[in-house]
Amino acid sequence: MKKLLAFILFLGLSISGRSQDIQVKYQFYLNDSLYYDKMLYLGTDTSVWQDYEETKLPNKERTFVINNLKTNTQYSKHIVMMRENFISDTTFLAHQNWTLTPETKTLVGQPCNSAETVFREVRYKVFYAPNIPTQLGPWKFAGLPGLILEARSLESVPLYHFVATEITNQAAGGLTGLVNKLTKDKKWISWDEYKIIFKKIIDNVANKIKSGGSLPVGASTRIKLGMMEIIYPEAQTGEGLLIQN
Amino acid sequence: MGRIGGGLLAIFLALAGTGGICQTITGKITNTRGEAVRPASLLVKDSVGAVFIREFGFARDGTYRLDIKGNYQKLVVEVKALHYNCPPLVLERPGKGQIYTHDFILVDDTTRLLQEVVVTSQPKFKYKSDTLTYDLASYTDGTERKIQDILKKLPGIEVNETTGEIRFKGRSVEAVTLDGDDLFGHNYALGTKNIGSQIVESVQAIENYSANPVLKNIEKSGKVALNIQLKKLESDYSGDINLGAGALFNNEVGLGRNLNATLVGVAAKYKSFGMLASNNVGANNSTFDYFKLNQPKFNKTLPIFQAVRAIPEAILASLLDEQRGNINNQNFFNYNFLLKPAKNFSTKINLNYLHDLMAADQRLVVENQIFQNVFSTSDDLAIRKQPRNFQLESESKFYDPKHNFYVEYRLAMFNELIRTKSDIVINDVQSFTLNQISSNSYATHAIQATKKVGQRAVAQFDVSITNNRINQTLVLADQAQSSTVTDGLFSQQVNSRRQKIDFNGKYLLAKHRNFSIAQTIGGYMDTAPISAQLSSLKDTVGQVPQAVNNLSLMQKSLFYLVDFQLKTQKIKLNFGIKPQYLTQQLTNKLADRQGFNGIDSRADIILQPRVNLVFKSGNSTSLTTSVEYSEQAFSPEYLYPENIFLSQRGISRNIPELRLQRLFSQLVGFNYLNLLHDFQANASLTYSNTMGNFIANNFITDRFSVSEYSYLANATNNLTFSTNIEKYMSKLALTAKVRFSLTHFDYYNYLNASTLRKNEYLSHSTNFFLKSAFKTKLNFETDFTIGKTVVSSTGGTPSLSNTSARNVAKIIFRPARSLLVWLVCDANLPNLKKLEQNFVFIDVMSNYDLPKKNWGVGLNFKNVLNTAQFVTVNVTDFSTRVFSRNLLPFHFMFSIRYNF
Repeated sequence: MKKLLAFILFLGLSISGRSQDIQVKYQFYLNDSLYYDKMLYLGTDTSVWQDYEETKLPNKERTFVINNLKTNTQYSKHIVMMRENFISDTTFLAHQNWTLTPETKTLVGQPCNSAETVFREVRYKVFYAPNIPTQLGPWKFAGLPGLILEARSLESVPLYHFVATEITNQAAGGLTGLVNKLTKDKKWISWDEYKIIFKKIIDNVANKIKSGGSLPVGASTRIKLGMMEIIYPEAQTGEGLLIQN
Repeated sequence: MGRIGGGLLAIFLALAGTGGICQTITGKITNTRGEAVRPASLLVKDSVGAVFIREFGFARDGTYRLDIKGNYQKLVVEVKALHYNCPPLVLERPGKGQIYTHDFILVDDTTRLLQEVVVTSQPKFKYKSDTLTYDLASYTDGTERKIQDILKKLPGIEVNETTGEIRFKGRSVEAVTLDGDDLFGHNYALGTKNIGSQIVESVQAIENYSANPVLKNIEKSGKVALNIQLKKLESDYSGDINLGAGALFNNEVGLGRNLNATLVGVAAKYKSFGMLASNNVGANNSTFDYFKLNQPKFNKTLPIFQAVRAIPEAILASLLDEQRGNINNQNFFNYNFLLKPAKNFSTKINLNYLHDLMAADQRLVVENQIFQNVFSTSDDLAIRKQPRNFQLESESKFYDPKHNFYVEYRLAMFNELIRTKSDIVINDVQSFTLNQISSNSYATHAIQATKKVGQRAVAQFDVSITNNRINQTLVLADQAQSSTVTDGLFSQQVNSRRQKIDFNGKYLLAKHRNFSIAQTIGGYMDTAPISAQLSSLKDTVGQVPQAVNNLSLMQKSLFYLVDFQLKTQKIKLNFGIKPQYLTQQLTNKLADRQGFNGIDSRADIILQPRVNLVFKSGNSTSLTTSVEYSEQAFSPEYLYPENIFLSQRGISRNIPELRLQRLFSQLVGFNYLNLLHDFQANASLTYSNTMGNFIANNFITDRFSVSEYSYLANATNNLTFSTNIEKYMSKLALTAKVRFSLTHFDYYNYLNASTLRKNEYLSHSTNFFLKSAFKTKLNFETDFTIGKTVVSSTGGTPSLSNTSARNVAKIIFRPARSLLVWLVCDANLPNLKKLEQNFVFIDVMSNYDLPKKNWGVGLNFKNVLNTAQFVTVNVTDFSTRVFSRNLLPFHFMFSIRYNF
């Protein structure tokens, strides 16, 4: 009996020792001002990127990105003009062609290499840790041979920047529950469908402002959306989408 | 232990069509127990121990395939997997086009990777408590000229380009401060529209803003402010000039003008803003409003205790907007200066000066139905009104951060003089001249000290002294200045004053971030003397005093207020109770003459509770309800016992009474906002019950209207309901709105020696709004309102009613991005029973932005049909009042604007 218990304990320790999830806390900056803290939960085939629990954001304003390597699918929640959209995207890996660059630095004790990519019309520079071998995360990033610990947009307005501040281990298995909680009872749409909806929402808002009566004749205003990926260039680049009355 | 499993098998193949691939390496990645290891990545380097990674690949399900694209003298492949170690595969001078097979067997890494938690250094800037700092270096691209241009680009900030109103996260911004200094108060748009962007370092959005630094993080005000951080040691002057000139086509052609210039100066130790404006085309560029007779406003909210303005000023406003009906000649000057000689001390001055000459030709026809007696009266007035006002505000602040102590002193004053001369024809027969002069001087001094007395507790003390003196003279003279004795000529003088000393001690304790208690002990002493003398001019030899008032009301109050606030995500509950001790003393200095007791006094203990609850359901629905009970003393205007002439017809007097008015009010509000379907609806219902009112005992003749006000304890009720439904129809690109409002109240009066009459007033209005957002060059807007008023009485007079309608239609044509032309058609039916009495106005406006961004021109044609007058119809419980007045004639204006 004692031998059996010792074997079970050994087996349990072995399993927990081999397969561990990782939690990484990032500070997310907007134009070099800290905006909100973010968390990455990293498992073997799955990563979950979401707002840090203790931020002041109400649940409705929280977003997430789930990368699943087994199904090659990215599940994400986007909020556009207070509307929630749940996107299932199987093309996310195809959009990320990384160029490895020679710069290195150490972040949270991990030696990091650098790389660049253009993801949906926004150029990013990242530092990743080859000693943490994963293709996943943070955010929608994937495809590098190590966890990205810092990412910075190089040309978008506003400038986005996130950098890891804490890495902790935790026992495997917790991710399944989190993924189920985030994905339960959601109506998923494809990325192409979302692009159409996104443009429609922005055009609707513009038209609503134009016809709403609060913009006097002769007055004009603009809608400018700062986002980490370009979906509707007229509303996201330059001065933004012009609304003239 | 990594080894070349089974030896290195090199297979020489001619790899046609491999497209730039030099070598291919395949194999398995397992641990020493033969289990597949994943995730694992493969790093390709050109030497052992190199940092730079040349290429990479991944192992899936324990197998891998690496297609090497580069040419390497030495090929090093490292395998990375969590908790495993493995020596690299090293290939010296790998053969081109070769396929290698190599299995990696990983051994356990006994040192637990990532066991410790490592924290990086803290960032330079934080989203700290309620402040978000934007670093502007990333936003500016050189095209921004004014602060407003930058604000428009910041996420979360919206700017209304017409009004200058700024919203952050959908909430209206309370103040825009410069380096923490509030130069403009509520008039911040003057600054954001005019201050150059080149001196701005960064912008901060502050939630739960409090101008008082000690209250920061303790008082959850819910207010939002923006702070503009300026670059150090820079000075800047910027401004704009807007010059408009044209012609007004009245009986003769006159010159029209609309001129406006602003200048802003900003440096490290001072900030200033100045403005000059002049026009005669109905525009009001000032901070005053003498068209609609609003009280002068200060930049800061200050207690305004007005002395009694017994004689009302001439009314010029009609239902039309001021740019149609305001025949003016306005000159306005504004200057704001803030000096900060030390880090913790600042002082500022705001100056406003206005002079205007306003004109209106009016005719008022009143059809009286007083029981069996039906008669009409008429008044034709040619009014010339000259308001002049000089206003000064000053504020000094000192903050000691070491001792958490803050003190501020404010002075606000104005000196107003309104001269009004009216040529009057009464009942189409009698001609008079009515001269009215009102002088109004007001000053308030307020000092407030705040000290933090605990981690989450603050004590505050404030005291203010306010003085207001209003002197009025109204003289009705024979227009011909002849010695002919004319009945009704008079000279009325009223001098009134009000002095109030107010003090409050407040203790605010934020027990938890969701719960706070505020306790205030305060009081005031309010003195309001009034003296009035009415003289008849009937006897041209000497003025005979006919009515004299000389009295004074003193009120003293002590109160304790406790206010609890609970705020969760779904509920905001506010409960307060205010026990108050109030004494009143009325001293009639003419007691002997009038046979009253000289002094009347009264003391009351009042308990005033109130509850307010806001419940949010989901993201889209909220319900608000509040219940409140209060008791209040009447203002001194109901206390003078002898006649005062208010106009050429109106005479007023009171039977003084010190009893209180008791007010019980309830409110229920509902709001639904569905952004997904672009639909919103809201409704509110307010009911109030008032016990104790001063009611009018009217005596109406074809020449005079005498009202004597006396106290009646009977309850009156007031009910208002309003609803608004709005939908944007995306398929049609149209916004439609429907608004409905209803007001019902009852009131009592006496009419020409009748018994007590109970009257009911019912008014409702329905509005339909439709506007397009087509992508074509042409768009339209229409705004239709129909309203009805019914007044009925139990006292034997018939119900009187009127229904009116108005539609404002616009056609908007934008042939190019920089050119806009729009046409306005404003059609009015003041009385639907008299459709022949209709008024139509046409305006044509245009605007063109010159290619040089800081230049623009405009050409406007207003009142193209040259409609000369406008009529409004009102009903009371015994009369129908038809009011007509003249308007600004057809005029055009060419304007050119320049920003620097």
